[in-house]
Amino acid sequence: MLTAHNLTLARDGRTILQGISLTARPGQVTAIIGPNGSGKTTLMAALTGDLPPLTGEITLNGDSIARLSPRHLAARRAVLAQETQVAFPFTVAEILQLGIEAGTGPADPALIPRLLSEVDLAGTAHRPIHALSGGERQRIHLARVLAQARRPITDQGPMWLFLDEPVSSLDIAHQLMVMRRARRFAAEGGAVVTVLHDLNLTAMAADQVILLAEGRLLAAGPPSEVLTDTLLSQAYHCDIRTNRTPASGPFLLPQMAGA
Amino acid sequence: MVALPLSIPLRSAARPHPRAVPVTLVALLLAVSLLSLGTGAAGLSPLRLIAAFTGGAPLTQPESLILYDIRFPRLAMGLMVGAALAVAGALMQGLFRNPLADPGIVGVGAGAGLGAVSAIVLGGLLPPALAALTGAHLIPFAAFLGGWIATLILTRVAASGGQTAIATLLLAGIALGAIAGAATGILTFLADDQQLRDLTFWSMGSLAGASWAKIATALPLILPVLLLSPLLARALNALALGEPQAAHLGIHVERTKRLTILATAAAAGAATAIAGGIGFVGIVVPHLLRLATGPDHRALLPHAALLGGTLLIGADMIARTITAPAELPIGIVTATLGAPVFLWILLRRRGLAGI
Repeated sequence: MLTAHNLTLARDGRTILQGISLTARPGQVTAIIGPNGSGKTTLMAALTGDLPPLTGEITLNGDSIARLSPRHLAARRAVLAQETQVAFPFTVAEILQLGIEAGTGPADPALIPRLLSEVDLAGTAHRPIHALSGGERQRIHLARVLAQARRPITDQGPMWLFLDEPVSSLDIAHQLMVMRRARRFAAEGGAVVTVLHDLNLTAMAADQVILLAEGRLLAAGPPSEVLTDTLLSQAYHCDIRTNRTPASGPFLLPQMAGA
Repeated sequence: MVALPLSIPLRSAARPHPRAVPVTLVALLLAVSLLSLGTGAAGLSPLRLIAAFTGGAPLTQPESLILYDIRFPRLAMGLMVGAALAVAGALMQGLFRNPLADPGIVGVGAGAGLGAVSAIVLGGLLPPALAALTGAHLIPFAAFLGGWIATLILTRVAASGGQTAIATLLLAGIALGAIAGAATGILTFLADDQQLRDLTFWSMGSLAGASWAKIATALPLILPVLLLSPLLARALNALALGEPQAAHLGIHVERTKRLTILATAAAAGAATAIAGGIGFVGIVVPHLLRLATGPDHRALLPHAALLGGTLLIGADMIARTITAPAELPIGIVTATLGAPVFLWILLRRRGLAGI
């Protein structure tokens, strides 16, 4: 389980988020949503251990992340950053190897080809990563993160995947592919925490939604409770009308939104 | 997304067999070493050496004096300094995530030089007990300190938020170089006649003054870096993805940076202390190796030591034969070979704002 208690987060001396308490569970996909500048990435940085909170505490599988060494933290969680620029022309296989070395447990030789076909980039193992397009590079880094999190359940409990806007440069087919892969990771016993912009994708893929607005946590709960007209309109300062299907919960069309 | 076309053609299937490169590098090193031992004013040719080493005609007394007191120390110092400069370059490029970082260009060499000059001019002010303790190690150690301080300042100024802009890095290097140069100028002004003689000899650099004693003063700083730097390789590979990403991969980022800075300053500082300012070895060698075997620091760092040594003794051979009987400063040779490569890398990266 991931718990955060009464977090205050600041960057460059400016307070970005206050009074944040939340819980995320293994077996679930937790989506963090909110308008631009609401502090989604800052919250993510705190949850992954990049940004020590000014106040409050974060625990991962029962241990405070502030007390885990980078090595031990890497054995419990893998992180896909919003953007990663590789400084030297490493090959795709070398990039994935970094993930394999950071994770724990055996890695069979078929792991790299398997992960590459999972992200629809089979056969690219020996190409330099700079030869790929932006969307392809994003999927290679997802494959690296999946290599680090190759066991959804580790000796130290469930493995955590943190994905910061994992679909930002992807086409619709690959967006769905990534969200399905995240769901599968959760179904296998792992835990996923992801920042998303697309509310429909959130409604479809998330078990729990955390809505941030104006430096606070506005709501947390299942999509049907958080993705409501009132909460979304309040958070995004925009008149949003949601609809719902009996089978798959809320959805919204931008055409239905007011000014 | 910003593409990052580096100075490398985008193909890698043509990378050689993993063992072919170290074998080639060692063979090259041995061949150039033998050539270097057999080159010089006194007629003692490589063939003559091979004959002597393989049990043919033994060396005469003057010949063995030339070999063991002049040419061998020069060879050993060239190998050591070249290896130190190339490894320092590779380490610094990994640290700054930038193939143009080099201790000589970004002001670390100037800082090391200031340290060495301070030791020569102000060394007399040390309490005699301390001076006796440090002895001949004072100059390399002071150069290491100077290089270390310069690197620390550089990381503060040029690297913000884990990203290092080329322009900031190079400008910070120019500023650091200017400050160190001004301080060196002041010290030179204050120096007495004997110290000026020492300074002149030191600043001529080159491998001309090679001696076993000089090697012994720098070896304690350089050898540990050559042997231990591969331990930083995995961390530097991860750092190529960015500082937060390296932390996500389980790397202790701050510790890695501290150790890399220390290692760079030790290798570059000690090399500067005994051989003066020799530029571009740290740029050219890692660059060629990345073309040949890719950027993995596990291969890059040991290979850089081998090729750096080979390149410097090769350059030294050119330096002492091309204008014989006079000797060209070796820094001119390495700059002639290296500066165009630097410019080439810069041109290939031009237009990548801030990277």
